[in-house]
Formats: sequence, C-alpha cells, structure tokens
Amino acid sequence: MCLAMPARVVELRDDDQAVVELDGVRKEISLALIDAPGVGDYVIVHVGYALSKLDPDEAAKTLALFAEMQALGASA
Amino acid sequence: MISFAPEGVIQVQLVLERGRIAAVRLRPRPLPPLKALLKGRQADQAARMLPRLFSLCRIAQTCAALNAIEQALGVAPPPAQSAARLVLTLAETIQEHATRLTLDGPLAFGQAPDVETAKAVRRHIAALVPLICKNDDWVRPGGGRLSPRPNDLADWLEELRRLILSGLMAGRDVSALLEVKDLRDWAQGQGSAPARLLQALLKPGLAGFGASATGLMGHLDSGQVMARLAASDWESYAQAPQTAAGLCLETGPLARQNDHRLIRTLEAESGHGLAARILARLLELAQTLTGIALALPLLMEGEGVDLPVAGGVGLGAAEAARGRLFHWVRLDAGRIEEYRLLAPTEWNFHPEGAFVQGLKGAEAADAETASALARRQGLALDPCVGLEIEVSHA
Repeated sequence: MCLAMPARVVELRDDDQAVVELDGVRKEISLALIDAPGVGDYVIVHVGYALSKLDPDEAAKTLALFAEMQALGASA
Repeated sequence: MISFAPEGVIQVQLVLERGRIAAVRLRPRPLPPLKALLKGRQADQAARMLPRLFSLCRIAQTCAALNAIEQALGVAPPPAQSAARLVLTLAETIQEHATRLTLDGPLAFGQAPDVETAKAVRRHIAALVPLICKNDDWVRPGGGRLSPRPNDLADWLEELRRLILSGLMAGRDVSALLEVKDLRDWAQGQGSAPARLLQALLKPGLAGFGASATGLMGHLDSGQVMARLAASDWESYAQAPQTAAGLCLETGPLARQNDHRLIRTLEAESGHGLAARILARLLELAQTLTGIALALPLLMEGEGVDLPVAGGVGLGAAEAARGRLFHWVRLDAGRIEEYRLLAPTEWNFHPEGAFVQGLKGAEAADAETASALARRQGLALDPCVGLEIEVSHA
C-alpha cells in the first residue's frame, strides 16, 4: 500500500535542495520537481525528491488521518 | 508502543554463502487498520478519505474503493463515469512510469536523473482532473458531476503524447520497434533517460538479472479473491496472496505487456529480468496513451446515479501502475462495516514470490553488493514502500 506521509519543508538550501521534517526526523531532499516551494509547505517525498506539494488544508487532513490510524494501530 | 508504521517498510534478510545469495527472507508488511479507521462512516465519505493515505497511487485506490462500494450497493455508474475513472487511472500510470524511468531508474544505476522531464510529465498529468470535472467531483460512489472540456482534453492528450515521445522515447515510438536489435540501436542513441537506462541494462548478466519462473498475473478469478478477502483469515491472504492452486504471481507492467513482441524476444534471450521489467514500463506508456485516446470520446457531461441506503458486500479492482489492486467492503445501511485491501506489492513481495525467487542464487561477493542487487530487484518490481535490507553470512 502506497502509504506516504507528507513531510514539512523546514529549510531551503541552494540548488533546489531543502531540509524536510517528518515525524521529528530531518532529511535533506531535492525540491527540483516542485513549483515555487517555500518553508512550511508539505510535500510527498520519494527517492530523495519531493514529488508533489499539498495545499495546507489537504496536508492537515492527511496528517490527521495518519495520526488517527497510528493511534488505532497502536491500540489494535 | 507503535505496532504499525504508517509509512510501512518491507524487511528483507539476505543470507550470503560462498559468494551467492543463498536465502532471501521477507517479512510481510503489517496491514493498515483500515476497518478501525473507516467503520461507521458513510460510504462516500470513506471513498474521499482513503486516497489521502495513498499518495503514490491515489487515483487507482479511489477507483477500487468506488467500485467496491458500488458493487456492495448494487449500483452501476453510467459509462461516462467509468470512462473518466479509466482515463484518470491511465494518466496516473503514465505519471508513475515516467517518474520511475527518469528518476528512480537512473539513480539506481548511477546515472543522471532527468528531472526536467519528470517535472514536465507530472505537472501535465496534474492538470487533467480540472479538464474533466470541478473539485474532484468524480470521487463519488455512483459517479459525480462531470463537466468535460473535449477540445482542451484533445490538446492535453496531444501535449502528453509529445512529452512522452520527445522526453522519454527520444523521438521514436519504442512500442513500434519489432526486434531487440532495433531496441539496442535506439538505446545506444542515448537520447533520453530511459534510453540510457536500457543501454546499461541490455547487457549480458544484467538484462536477465532477477528473472524467475514466477507466473505473470493475467486473468485472476475474482470469485476466489472475493472469497479469500471475505474469510476470517483474510489477513494472512492479504499479506501473502497466492492463487487457489497455491501459486505466486507477478503483477504489474511486465505482466500486462507480456504479449508485446519485444518482451517475448527479450524473454527468450534473457528471461523476465531487469531489462524486460524496465522495458515493459516504457512500452506501457505508448499503450496507455492509446487507452486514453479511446476513452476520451466516452466522457460526457452528466451526473452519477442515486445511491440506495443499503447493505452488502463488494469487491473493487483497479489496475494501478504497480499492478492489480483490490478493495473489499461490507456495508450496513450505507455505512462501512468492514474494509479490506489487497495491494499489488504483496503479490510481488510474497515470501516465495518474484522478488525473492529472482534474487536467490545471485552472485554477491559481499554484503554491499548483495544489498545493491536487492535494491535493483526492488526497483524492477517497484514496491510502493521502501526496503529495509539486512545481510548476514551463513
């Protein structure tokens, strides 16, 4: 199942590189595939590239869903 | 304690013995607790929620969910709705294949990725939904309000064709080539990322790497899938599916493109290995364009059908980029009672399936080589999650 959690862009670097944060873990990735990225954007990351950007509302709903599922999984 | 990792990884253990991968052990992924998440929700709400979890195959997941819910309710969507779903699913397949061929593939073989083409194709595919309907209105059991723009859709398709022909196929429709020799010539021109990738892969040893005798998924008895997903031990099936006869199958682009002459010839030369699996994605780009062209005229302005507040059981299928996907649902008075999913990754990454069989016996002098081989085999079979590889010595 192609579960993919959105990661938050926390720092922009040179050459389309950026640092994203997911579940408290930071990682450097490329934003070369994304139009007009900014700090605070939520992106879906795959093989070190952000593939797509989510609008803030969609990102919030998605993260809430993952949090709910994680809580359910933990209690299952 | 968190018993379920939302991103999910497949744990692979490789055992090295006398310079070979002597054993490959896979631990099936835990299944996401979909029932707990969806139980009691209205079916249409569930169909909108679920795809959020699956950003890499969102459209295929949505279609499988809609199909399952419609079957459970005993309704059939109008043909235009089915056509819209097909067009969107095929476009998602192009998006995924193009990304594998321009990013993942080159990166796995130390080549430069073609970020520009990947970006151009992804941006173009993202522009499709607004040409068919407003605000994702198509995501509704029974069908939603469609307002297709035929002229814009025709232009969109032509531009997609141009992007694929120039960005991925280096000006030549690879699916029209007849001989592997022609394919080699095309690859040697190195005119695109997939050409460079195939040039590297069409070499003795590498071309056939990862081949096995695992059967390819063609017709699959949906009655059997339905029965297994409905059974009380459905989880063991969804984690490690096999046919009624106890066979593992490979699903995905190779299984779908197996009839193409180039794949057949490559198979005769080197089996269903790396080259055949990567080539299948490239060939499928052309076939998928044709599929979209055939389905576009069926898109019509209109609404879906009304839904009864009913109960029942339904199985929905979709052909995702990675392979066949099934959703199974039980509804009670229009609400989700039970929800189960069978993903393509579980067929290909079955503990005795194509991934494992193709790696077993491969020459690997050390742990690093063995891990790299497992990653290549992973790329060829394209799991939707990462692999966590551990190597030990016998």
